[in-house]
Amino acid sequence: MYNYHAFGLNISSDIELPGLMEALDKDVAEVKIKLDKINLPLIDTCSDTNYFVDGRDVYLWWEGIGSVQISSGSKITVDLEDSDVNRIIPFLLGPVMAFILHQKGFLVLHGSAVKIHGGVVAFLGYRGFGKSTIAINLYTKGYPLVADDLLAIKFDEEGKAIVYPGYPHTRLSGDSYNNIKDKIRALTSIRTISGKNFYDASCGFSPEPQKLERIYTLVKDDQVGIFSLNSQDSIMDLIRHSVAQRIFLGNDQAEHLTQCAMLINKVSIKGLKVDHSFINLPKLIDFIEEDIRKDYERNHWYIS
Amino acid sequence: MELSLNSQVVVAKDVVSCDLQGETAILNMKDGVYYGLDEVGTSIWKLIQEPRRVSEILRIILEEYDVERDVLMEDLMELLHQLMDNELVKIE
Repeated sequence: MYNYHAFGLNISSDIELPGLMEALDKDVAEVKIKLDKINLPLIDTCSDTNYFVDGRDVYLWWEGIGSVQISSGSKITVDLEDSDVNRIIPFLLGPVMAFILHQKGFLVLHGSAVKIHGGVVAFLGYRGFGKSTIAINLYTKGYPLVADDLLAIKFDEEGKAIVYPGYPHTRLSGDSYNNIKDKIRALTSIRTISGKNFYDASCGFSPEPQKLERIYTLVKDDQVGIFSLNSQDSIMDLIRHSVAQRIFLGNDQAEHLTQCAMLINKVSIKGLKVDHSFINLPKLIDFIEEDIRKDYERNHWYIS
Repeated sequence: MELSLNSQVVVAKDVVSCDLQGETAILNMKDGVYYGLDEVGTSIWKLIQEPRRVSEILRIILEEYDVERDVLMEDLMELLHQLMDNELVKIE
């Protein structure tokens, strides 16, 4: 049995999950990952979906890799059939954890985040837009990583948006890694099948929940820069970059909209133009630091 | 039902909305589609959380905004028709 801590939760697991923080308190596990057989519900096999929602249970499966049952925000059952356990790990750390967090009432966004001037700065974007690349480049300048790929948010009693830090590692494509390889080290024990590998980013990592101060949403452009977003554009961006958005229905979807609106009323959201050239990356990183420094010095940083 | 000054309109069931710094985001839970309203649209939206006559909405908005009655009438009717077409508002 392995014991980890991520997103403010103690996780016990039958499967070793490399690159996670170990739990300090091993007595209480809020999430349990078990290896067992799963009876997948009978569904239309012609459809190309790989998930099924049945009340408080979500089923996910990947051909040749395995299947997972996620129950009531507390139990994850993994059925590997005859597959290699390492192949399912990226899915457990990604979509499976996202569903558990969603079941636990978190607002879960596709985003990476670092800590700057004591506040969390998050980058939202589609896969391949460079969220992790931006986060790791800020990390190598001394800003601790808070989240990579999964941004788990809850609101405290005062309505402030609080980020629960995820894993102290990041997933990068080969190109992104080559651009920065002198400054980080690979976690060789985990490799993904999606062409991205895991790299350690644990320097300065803190599991303590931290206040979210700024969100940048990434858009592709032929130049780099920062622009302002109105609240209607912001809410559409938050909805677009929500994890598991496709399975939200009815009351879940309404609750989700409310959470997104709360976030807009509490956190400043801006657009970030990215052009996908590593040549302009240092300029982009400078723009971000400068933008945050200006708001910080003008005291626009903290939206109470 | 035809929309007129005498019609009583109200936000439909299964519709949720939230405040976005003075604007509004709306979700129709029947089909999962999102909509947005600007500031004036938001003022009207707030009024029709309870059943209300179109003539009354017109009167209240005229007091609140500096706008010609005919212009407002046209815009209001257009907005209400759009809201009805998308099943966000119904005539009582």
